Amino acid sequence: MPGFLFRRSLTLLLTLVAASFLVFSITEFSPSNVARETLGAYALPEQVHLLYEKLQLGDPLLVRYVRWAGVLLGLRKDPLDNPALGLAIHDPNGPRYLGNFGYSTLFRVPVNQIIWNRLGNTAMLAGIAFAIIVPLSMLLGILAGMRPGSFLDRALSVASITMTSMPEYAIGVILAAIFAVWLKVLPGTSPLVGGTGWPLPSQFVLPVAVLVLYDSGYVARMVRASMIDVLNRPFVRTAILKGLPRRRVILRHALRNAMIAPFTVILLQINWLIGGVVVTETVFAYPGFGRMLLQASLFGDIALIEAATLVALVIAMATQLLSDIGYWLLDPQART
Amino acid sequence: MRPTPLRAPSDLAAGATIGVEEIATARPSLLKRLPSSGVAMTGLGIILFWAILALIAPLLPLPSPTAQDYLAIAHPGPGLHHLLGVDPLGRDTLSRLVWGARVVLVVAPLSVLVAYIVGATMGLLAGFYPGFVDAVISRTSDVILAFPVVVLYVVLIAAVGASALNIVVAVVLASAPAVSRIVRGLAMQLVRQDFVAAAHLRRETALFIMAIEILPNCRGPLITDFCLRLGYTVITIGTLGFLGLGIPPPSPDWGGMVQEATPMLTVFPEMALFPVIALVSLVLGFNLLADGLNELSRAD
Repeated sequence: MPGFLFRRSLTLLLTLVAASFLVFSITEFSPSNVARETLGAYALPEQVHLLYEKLQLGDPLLVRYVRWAGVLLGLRKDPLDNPALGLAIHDPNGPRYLGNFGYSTLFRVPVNQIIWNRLGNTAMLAGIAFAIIVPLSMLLGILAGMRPGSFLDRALSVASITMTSMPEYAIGVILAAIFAVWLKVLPGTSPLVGGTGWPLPSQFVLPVAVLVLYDSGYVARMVRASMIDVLNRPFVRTAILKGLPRRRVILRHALRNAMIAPFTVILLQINWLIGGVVVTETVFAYPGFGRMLLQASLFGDIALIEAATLVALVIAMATQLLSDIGYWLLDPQART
Repeated sequence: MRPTPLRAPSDLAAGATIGVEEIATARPSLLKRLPSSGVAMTGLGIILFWAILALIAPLLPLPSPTAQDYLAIAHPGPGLHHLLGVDPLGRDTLSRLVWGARVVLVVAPLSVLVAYIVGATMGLLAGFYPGFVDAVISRTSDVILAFPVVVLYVVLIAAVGASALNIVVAVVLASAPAVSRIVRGLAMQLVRQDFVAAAHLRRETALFIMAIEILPNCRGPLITDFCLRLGYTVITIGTLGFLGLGIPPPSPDWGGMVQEATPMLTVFPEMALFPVIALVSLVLGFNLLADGLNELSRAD
């Protein structure tokens, strides 16, 4: 691996540390708030004050951040996981281990017991959507880019600008109104439990459709622009003038080069999808990561907000790194 | 050739290259040539429609957007008394749409404008002072841009509480780094141009060169991005309202209206569909305007 990827990973790691500090400052900026949220709405001011003292929340933000990071890295015990506090917070993995995100006050379990399950559900939803978005938008983009100005090209362009003007929840509400309310062929909610009268696979259709509609047009237009650009390059003209059949020119010469630019775009869509699932999961009451983050935020579940944001950040950055590596593999010019 | 597609304003920030030659030679009459673009004029028409409705809202013969008509709740559909029906609390939908346009058409442009003032300042400084200043500004931007945008909004608003002011602050925090990246990229190309060197020779101050020589030459791509960002911010405000993090009730907010009506979707789908249509039309207006402007500036 070249030095540039090593440097890039290092930069991303530093960015992650800085971003985690930003998350920590946003959620725990007001220390008395931390104590109050931990104890819940019915705590007496004396109790809040006592916990404030016990957790040393009066210390500077940076000191508290280092402590928090220490708990996360398994270097310190979680101060809340202490029978002497009488909060009944107990982690079966023990108070000190690597990846200790603390205790969720909303779900009343350690964060690790809830977050990975929800992330799995979201991965399933986003995975299905992604498996449809990529081939569909590539196909549409390539076909449109081969003949700019054709009917397909114009249709794609109109559909794309319309869909990108629609927020995910608008698409969700419209689809639910048509297919769940009017035609009654699909369930309007996707809680992923049996007994709703709808088989589990049918519960995926509408959420996946929202993500696909929201994203495909955009990616397709990126592929289209790149395809047009490559087809106008001299080496394609040479290939045509050599007398190669058009199919061979497009499949062997143009496609690989046309995929370089959209590759980055497609991977960065994962970052975009993370935001998209927050809204989509909320529309369909899907038990996923995004809805969990929203619930935690509305409830004031500090440990869960921090954990979820951090996980989202790691995913976003991992895709950035992946797109860098992929770019390096796809484009020989980048390997200098 | 038609313009490359643009969606999230971050596209430009992500490094879509815009040739400086195009910008430097852009004729000043971009806005004057606007009528020649049908797409842009359609967009402008939609925006003006909502803007005028918002402006004359107090003069229209509509019930108050917060007044509850308890008798109408039993039959909330469109009718003579309430042209577009009422919401689950018996409030007139049309009135809430019109007054809601006021809210969104003040909050969205205001937040984008402030984001531009902050972002353009950051970008100009970063482009003009390569080295330490640039490194600090760019690395800070990287940290904020690393977040999935919706996640950042949710965490921020949940922490500081939902209010119109906090939405403006959140949009500025999330968008200023993206604007800064665009301006920085343009400024870095522009500082190498002769007219900037000439200004240096005339011993103009750094502030003068940044504000008078460089910034006006960035306007072509910035105008397009401004429109796209406006549309995107309308989506954001609606999304926050839908997630329950928007402008607090009872003030009429389009996203909040969709959220309140969604549980009734199976019985009265139009209750949710009207605010959805309003929101989508306004965003479409901004996007069409951006598309048209983009086409015009590329034709230069």
